[in-house]
Amino acid sequence: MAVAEMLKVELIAPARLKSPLLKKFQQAALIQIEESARELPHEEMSINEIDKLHTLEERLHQAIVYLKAWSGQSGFKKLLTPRPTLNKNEIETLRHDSTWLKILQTFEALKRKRDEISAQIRQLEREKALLQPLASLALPLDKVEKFKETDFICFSLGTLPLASLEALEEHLRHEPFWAGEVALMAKRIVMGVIYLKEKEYDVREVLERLGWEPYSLSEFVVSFLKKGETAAQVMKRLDQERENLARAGAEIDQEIKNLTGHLEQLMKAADIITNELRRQEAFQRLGRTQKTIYLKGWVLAENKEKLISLLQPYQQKIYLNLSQPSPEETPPIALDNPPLFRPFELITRLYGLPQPRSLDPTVYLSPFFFVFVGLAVSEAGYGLIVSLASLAALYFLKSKGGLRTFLKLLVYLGGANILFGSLVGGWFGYPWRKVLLIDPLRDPLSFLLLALVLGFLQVWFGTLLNLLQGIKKKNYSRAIFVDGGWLLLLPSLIGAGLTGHRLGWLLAGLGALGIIFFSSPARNPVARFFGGLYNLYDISRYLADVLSYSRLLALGLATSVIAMVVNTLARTAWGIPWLGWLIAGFIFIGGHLFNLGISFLGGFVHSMRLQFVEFFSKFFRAGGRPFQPLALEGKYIEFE
Amino acid sequence: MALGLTIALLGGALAVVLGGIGSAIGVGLAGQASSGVMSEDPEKFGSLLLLVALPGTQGIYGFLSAFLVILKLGLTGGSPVAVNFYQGWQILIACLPVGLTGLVSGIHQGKVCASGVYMVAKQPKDLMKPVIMAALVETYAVLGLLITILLLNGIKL
Repeated sequence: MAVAEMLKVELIAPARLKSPLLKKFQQAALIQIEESARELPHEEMSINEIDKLHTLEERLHQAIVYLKAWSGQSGFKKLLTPRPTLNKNEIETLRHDSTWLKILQTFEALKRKRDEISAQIRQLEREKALLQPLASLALPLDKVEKFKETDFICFSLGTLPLASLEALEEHLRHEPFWAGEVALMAKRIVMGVIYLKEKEYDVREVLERLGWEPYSLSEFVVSFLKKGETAAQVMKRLDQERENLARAGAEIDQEIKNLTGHLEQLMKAADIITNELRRQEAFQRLGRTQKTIYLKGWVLAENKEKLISLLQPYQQKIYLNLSQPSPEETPPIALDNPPLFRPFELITRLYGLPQPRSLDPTVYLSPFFFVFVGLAVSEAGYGLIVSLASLAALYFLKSKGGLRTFLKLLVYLGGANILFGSLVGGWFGYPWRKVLLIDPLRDPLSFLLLALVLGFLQVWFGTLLNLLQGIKKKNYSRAIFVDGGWLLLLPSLIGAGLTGHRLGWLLAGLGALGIIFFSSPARNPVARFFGGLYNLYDISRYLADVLSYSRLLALGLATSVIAMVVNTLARTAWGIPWLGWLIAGFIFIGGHLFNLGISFLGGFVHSMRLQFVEFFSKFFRAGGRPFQPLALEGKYIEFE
Repeated sequence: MALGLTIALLGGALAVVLGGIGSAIGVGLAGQASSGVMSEDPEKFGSLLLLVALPGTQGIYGFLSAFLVILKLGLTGGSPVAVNFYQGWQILIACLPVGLTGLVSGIHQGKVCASGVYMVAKQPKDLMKPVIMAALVETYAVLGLLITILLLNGIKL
């Protein structure tokens, strides 16, 4: 019911056993291997093997991503299909089976061909766009290319800005050259110009002044065109060529699509390679000599026997030592809570794992979190929907890991809402008067009081946990007098304030004395006294913390009011003739689903904040590193 | 009295408009950031949507406060309650906490969410951390809503 106990594992074995041992460890998922290569002399190993595996892994991932896009499974269907499974015994056979490698190579060859075709198609389109301005030119293109000059005249093709057209006409009247319009582009005009060779210099000067840019055919078109073809004909042929290529591309696409049937095989291969890499990396962490390997790691104390029996076959050849971690060592953290509380570990994990040899807050925060989400949403109907939907998802999705834990948590939180929604909220905006304890809309102050009392309890409880932890760490004076002082001061102050009884003031004073004299770390008694007095000011922090719980009322009210608004709107829509029932139904269902979404999000997040900021700050320090045993983990598949 | 009713209505309008402006700016900021991230990684849509939607609550708080005003004034039933000059002002003042806290916190929550979007782009597993950060900003809108509700509840018509 706390942080799980860890044992340190030390193992020395002959080097030739490294592969079978690591494989066994990975399959059993028992130990986390620590870095010990750096401290010990070790044989350099070739990085080559790892690099090769990395490349293969990357190639497989790329193929899978590409093929997945082709497999045409919709998102929802994908969610419902369980991940393919692989038996641990099949790993070796599949690893040395070459079919998946052939599939991968076939895919890569096809993909390369497809990429080439796409590049060619893009080029054809580009060339066609470049020819577009000449589409109406009746002159064959090879003439344009070759026919530049005769003995007496020159011909050239180019573009002019539209704005210089008038100036050109002016020139045409005086200068000895002829110009003809070929085509209009967006801002320029394509023209052919013929002039006397002897005037070449003058004409060119005029044209340049007007912004002339010579037009020349691209190398591709020059080599592509046949004799006597006009631009329009060339473009038509470019189109045909493009269509041919597109057809060839489509055929390749079809072949690639046929490969999607092998997707599962590739996924299995990818995960096997990934896990092999993980093993290689673990191997790099070992201390090594030429003949032996040294492994340092951690195992859960409860798995001690399993580890020993796992290593039974090697008993004669290896040295194994299991020991308690020394105080300087920081073992990794695994949380170990009763199944009932396990979904709430999610919240602890989110904040950060506890440090070694400290307290796991999961069990303590669970009841508070349960109640807070219940109050912050306080809508029994939504709770029912969330619980049922999460149960259905648990049943149908067969998911593992984080998602499964989250769904279980949602089942609880839905339950919390069925309970608290009935007591202090409603069912889809309608309060169930028979069981209703507080109507937050009519009597918000009682609800506020409830929220503040709960907040006070949690803050007080957090301080109590700090006291217990202090005693465990043998910080007696601080734990008893300071934490104890607060524990005494806060309730007695409230008691005194409510009843005015002298005993309350007396106890509060007693608590305050403990805080004044023991909370400051200073040695000088005067500094200690004033430091302690200043620490008494922390009472404002406690006040702020407790007031922060008032958000439960605001969030709970928000849910109720929006639910009410939805109902009012639906009722109004009901009055519309003919289609009223339909519109009312849409408003009712859509509105409540919307409200469900935002109120659960708000309730969840704000309840979590209350744990993190108000509760954890009293006693909890995160900073543990997670226990991650070497194990078979699939990105695409499950290992059985 | 018509003047009182007018002032009260101005209060309801302010609640919904100020909160709405805050949320619109906030959601806008987070939305821009998330579109940028999605251009690289379209699969993040689901997790980013959460961060983009988060600054939207201020607008909803304003809306529900305005609705409470409407209920209080009896406007839904067609027979408005008589509101005098002072009561009108009281309702308007009661609407200010949710409106103003919503305006400012919505914008700032949007900024926190936008940077949270960038964080999720790099650390997809840590989605809930920026959500919690954003909720820290939202606290003040929640408190504003709380006071608005309590004030509206306390005003005698």
